[in-house]
Amino acid sequence: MPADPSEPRDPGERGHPGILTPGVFAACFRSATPALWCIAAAVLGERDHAEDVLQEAAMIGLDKRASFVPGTSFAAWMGQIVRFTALNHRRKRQRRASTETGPITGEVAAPATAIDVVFDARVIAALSTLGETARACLLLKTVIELDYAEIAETLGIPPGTAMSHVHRARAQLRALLGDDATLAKEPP
Amino acid sequence: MNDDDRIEASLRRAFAPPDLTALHRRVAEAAARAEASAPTRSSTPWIAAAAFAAAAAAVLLLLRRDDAVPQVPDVAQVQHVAPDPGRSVGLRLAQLHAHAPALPTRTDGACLAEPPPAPGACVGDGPRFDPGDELEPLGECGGPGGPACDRATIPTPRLIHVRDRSGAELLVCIAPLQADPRPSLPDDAGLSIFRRELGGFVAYEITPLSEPLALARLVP
Repeated sequence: MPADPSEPRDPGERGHPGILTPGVFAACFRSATPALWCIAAAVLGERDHAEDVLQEAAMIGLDKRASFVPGTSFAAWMGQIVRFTALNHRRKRQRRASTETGPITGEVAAPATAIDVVFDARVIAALSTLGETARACLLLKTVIELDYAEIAETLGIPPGTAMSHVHRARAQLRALLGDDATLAKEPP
Repeated sequence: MNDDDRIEASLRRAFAPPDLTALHRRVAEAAARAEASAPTRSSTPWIAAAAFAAAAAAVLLLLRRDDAVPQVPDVAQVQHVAPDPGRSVGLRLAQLHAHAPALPTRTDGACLAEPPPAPGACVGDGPRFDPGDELEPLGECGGPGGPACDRATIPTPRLIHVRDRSGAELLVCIAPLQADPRPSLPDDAGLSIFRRELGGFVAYEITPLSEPLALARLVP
């Protein structure tokens, strides 16, 4: 998506702005949104409340922007705020309904077949068995196709660790889905 | 399509970010409100920061002559260090050298313009600095993991450069107590020095204001 020329530009050009004025914050937040969305969804384990988390985290970040260290990664700094906000949401939700499990809802790209619907539900269930960081690594790699260095910077972990998380997460999902993955290959 | 491809296609379907235009608009509106309520500041903050750093460095460099005995209160609380008319008081370079042996190699104050590599990277040993909402960090050097202060013109183990809401820029120098740099200023410097001891460390705030703002933000 081309940048809106009316938006303030990120003076760091690569997500490493200098002084974080409110305008720069808004521009950086906009460009970092895909990664922040994945972090929120990974911590929550679902997508339904990820936008609410991003909204709340954005207000917190805007208020606390003085704590941003100029020249460092905005996505990493904001990612931490998103993570804590999502953790709070998750804890509140668990307190409200500790045993509740529901169907996948919200705005999801339309599955192509009925088998896809079943398979997607199983993938999400399998995803929930991974650790939070592994989920975030896998979603950042798969959904928005960050490279390992970008994942590492965003999550504040070494690149080798990010790579290891992705590989182990894929292997664990393959093992958990087992025959389901094979089933999904077959036409209905 | 292999198993990995099937799984990744499923993840992309399930977790593709939605249209967040409305969220971006709400954030932009909140930012505009924050911008409107923020105090006016210099449009060239780093130039101002560099100018302040150079001025402070020049003042302190003048004080490095070892031709007088430092007169610094030796109490545990924040205390104003009185101007010292007619005398210049040196930083105790020999003591500082014991902690930062590679003292100044550059004279452009670049250290102050170099932020630490990651939030909190300069916070480890010694007091932790929490700028809160009132102070804006501009630069820091000398903490574990951060750029070394040996590139700065001010020979202290650790420097923190901040700005308050009015735009006043402050320097905080932190050193081990046993290597107390004991700076002071001539009375025409236009700056004040405040001193605070925290555990095994001593911190000085060099400020154009009449009261310290940053020292209270140091957490032992």
